[in-house]
Amino acid sequence: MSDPTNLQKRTNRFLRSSEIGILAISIIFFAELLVGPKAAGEFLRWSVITSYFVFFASIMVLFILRNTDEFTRDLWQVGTGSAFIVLVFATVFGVMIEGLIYIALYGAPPEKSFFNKHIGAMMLFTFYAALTIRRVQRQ
Amino acid sequence: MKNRLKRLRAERNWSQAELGEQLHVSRQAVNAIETGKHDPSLPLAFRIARLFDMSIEEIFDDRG
Repeated sequence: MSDPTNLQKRTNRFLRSSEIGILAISIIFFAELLVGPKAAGEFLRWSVITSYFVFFASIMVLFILRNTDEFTRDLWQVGTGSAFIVLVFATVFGVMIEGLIYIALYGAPPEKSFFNKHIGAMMLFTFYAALTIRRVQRQ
Repeated sequence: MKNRLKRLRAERNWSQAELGEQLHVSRQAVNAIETGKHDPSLPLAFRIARLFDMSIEEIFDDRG
């Protein structure tokens, strides 16, 4: 078992990292999905690049500290579980429904699936959102 | 799951952080268990029971 004071520090670090991570992934999600990389201005583009670095650091810290105690393990499991559900629904049902709508409207399936293109961002956003919701519920 | 952890802690004038230190979990984990929002693992339930010198059933109640 680890030093209890160190354990609390690691838990706090896990929580700070999740806060920073959800901010970073929200900027990425907003810029990439809602605005689009081409429409994004120079400031937004640099914000996205910075956010990717911050996000990467955040997810690494979360991964390393995920087993600090039962609280952090629970948050991590809820996040990964929710992201997996989104993966299944988006790749199976999302793509299918999208294809059916395109065929009904245009007579052919889409050339590029929205879900296939953005599944990574959707999963990561879901991971952080679920982790944060669980954290709020637990406190 | 209902439990008496908060009352037992209060009787000893321990803060959540102090109890967490003795159980080797974070203050947030203690809070989640006390409020019944998180059920502790079996090893942690045993550690809690040993710390208060009681049985698990005396601290935790799974009936309602």
